Amino acid sequence: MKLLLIEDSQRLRTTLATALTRLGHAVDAAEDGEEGETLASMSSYDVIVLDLMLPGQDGITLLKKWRQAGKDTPVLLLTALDGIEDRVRGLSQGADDYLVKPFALEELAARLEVLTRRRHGMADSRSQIGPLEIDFAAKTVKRGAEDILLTAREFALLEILARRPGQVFSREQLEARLYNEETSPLSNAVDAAVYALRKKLCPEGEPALIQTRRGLGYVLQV
Amino acid sequence: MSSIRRQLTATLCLAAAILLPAGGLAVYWTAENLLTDQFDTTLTAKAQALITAAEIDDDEFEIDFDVQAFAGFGQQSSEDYYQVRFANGESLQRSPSLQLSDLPAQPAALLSRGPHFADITLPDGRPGRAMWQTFVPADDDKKAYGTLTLAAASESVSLNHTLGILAGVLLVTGGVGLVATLLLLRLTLRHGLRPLDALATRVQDLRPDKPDQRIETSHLPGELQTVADKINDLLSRVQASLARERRFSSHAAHEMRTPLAELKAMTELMVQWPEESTPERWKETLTIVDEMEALLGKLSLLSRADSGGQSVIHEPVDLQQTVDACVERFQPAAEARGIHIEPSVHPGGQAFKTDPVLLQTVLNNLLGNAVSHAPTGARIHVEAAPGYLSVTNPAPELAQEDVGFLFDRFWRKNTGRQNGEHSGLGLSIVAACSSLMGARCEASLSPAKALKLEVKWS
Repeated sequence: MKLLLIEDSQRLRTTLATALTRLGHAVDAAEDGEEGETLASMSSYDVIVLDLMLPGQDGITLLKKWRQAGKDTPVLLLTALDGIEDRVRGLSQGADDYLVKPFALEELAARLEVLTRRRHGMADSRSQIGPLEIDFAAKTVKRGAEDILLTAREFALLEILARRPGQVFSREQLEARLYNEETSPLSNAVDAAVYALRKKLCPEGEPALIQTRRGLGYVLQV
Repeated sequence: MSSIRRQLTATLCLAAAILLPAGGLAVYWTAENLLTDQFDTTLTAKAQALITAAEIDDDEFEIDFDVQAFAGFGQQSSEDYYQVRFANGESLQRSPSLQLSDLPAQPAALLSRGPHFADITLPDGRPGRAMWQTFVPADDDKKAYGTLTLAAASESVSLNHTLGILAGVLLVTGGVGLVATLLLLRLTLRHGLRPLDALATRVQDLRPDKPDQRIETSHLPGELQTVADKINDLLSRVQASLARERRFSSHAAHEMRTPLAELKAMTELMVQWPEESTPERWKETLTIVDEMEALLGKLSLLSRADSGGQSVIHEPVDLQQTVDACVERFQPAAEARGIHIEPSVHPGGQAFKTDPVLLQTVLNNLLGNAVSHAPTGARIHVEAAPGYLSVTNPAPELAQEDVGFLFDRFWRKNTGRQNGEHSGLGLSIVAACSSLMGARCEASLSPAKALKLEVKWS
């Protein structure tokens, strides 16, 4: 999924961005409220991870702005303030979840997954799509009894398509969701990733699950 | 435990128990004197009438019978008595009411001209009051009778009866009054002290977890309003102190949580993806640990300063050497930012005594703060003299209203956290150390946005 991380601690920002990228997410990072606001206005994100205490424009102000403007991207607050009133304040302003520092990367990843699932109206992290059994939390895919091993990027691509089966995604849309703002993928990177994923998902002789719609993009057809 | 109500009740009851009988006695004594005086005046008038009417006629002593009758001595059944005696005590004449009895002779102690009065027992056994008066009868040309003594008496049963009634009335009203007063006192005290009880209950109901509670003072009497105002004032100060403590704890937790989060995230990253375990990342984790250690040191210093656990040793200090050492320490950081430090030391004529460690801590924090926050290329002035220290630097981002927060713990102009270098404790450490040295730290911002931090020893 595509994430926006707004965190003023340079070390934490870099570390989280690295870890989340390793987990297959496309992460854009901002060091203050202004930069975060700019990035959020330029791209569409699946989840925004927002620190409360930011230099200049603080997290709550930013969150209020977004909610008042009708922006419904799930926001996970990430902060060192652990008081009940701080949590309530954040949640009442429109935050979808709250994580107190220090936290485990695993917990952050799980909460991000829950937020995404909730956005897509899924009660369970596991989903049966055609012959595929996908666990979005465990990031595993099975075809029948056979485990399919995917790279983080491949799983991210599958997740985008599998969250909305039957919906056509253009190459640009996939690129925007797979790569962050600072990465300039090769022009055929998406095509190459789709090709590799398609091969792993379908044994030879079986109809391809990911189909190409000429001039439109790709779709997971079940 | 002493009780105001009990003390007041005891004191007022004692006062009532003393004052009410004393008042009754005073009334009785005054009434007795007035009635006795009135009795004596009447008796004197009667005696004077007899003396005036007494004469020697044909060598015989006589008192006009009409006068005797007028004065009330004429009848046998009269309540009034008189007896005239010679100087030797021999009876010369007596009233018919005495028949053959005698009135008591004039007491020896009263052997003077008189008149003299005394309570006596009448010959019939009833109580009476008598007066004695010496006189020389008229027309005693031959001096045959000489000076005579008239004893006049009247029964005092009615007087005693009146006084008895008065005493009875006073005793009964006094007793009833005393009991009523005690009951009234108790009721009045209970009613009067009810607002105090209400105030005590209100104070007792104040919950430690609700420091914003105050006591409603509008319905309290004036005397208790002052007490309630003082309690409210104390509550406000406690609330402010609690808020400060809470802010401090919250900030301390925040300051510790962020580096902990950094450390945890970095470690997890390196454990989960070993290829991320680079020497640079390990060095960074070490830096985080160092910063946390420094933060703990600062918190510990503040804690010691607050609790009085920080030792203070006053000894002569070399100001020049102290300032030079500090400037040398921050010179590289200042040069990196193009900042110029201008020290100016006035050693003075006499040795300056203070705690060298605390002085160094103060100077390090002041200069470190200035080097970190002054704009690139700025000039920092350090001035030191016995009993005085100041650091001045441009602070274009600081507003006049920020000056009041400069010494607040964890206060930063910017709430965000770029890295662990600035915890917002530096100036609060300066204030705490200055206080320990017997000095005070003041901050001022000039209209040209020059921030001057001064430490002045008293």
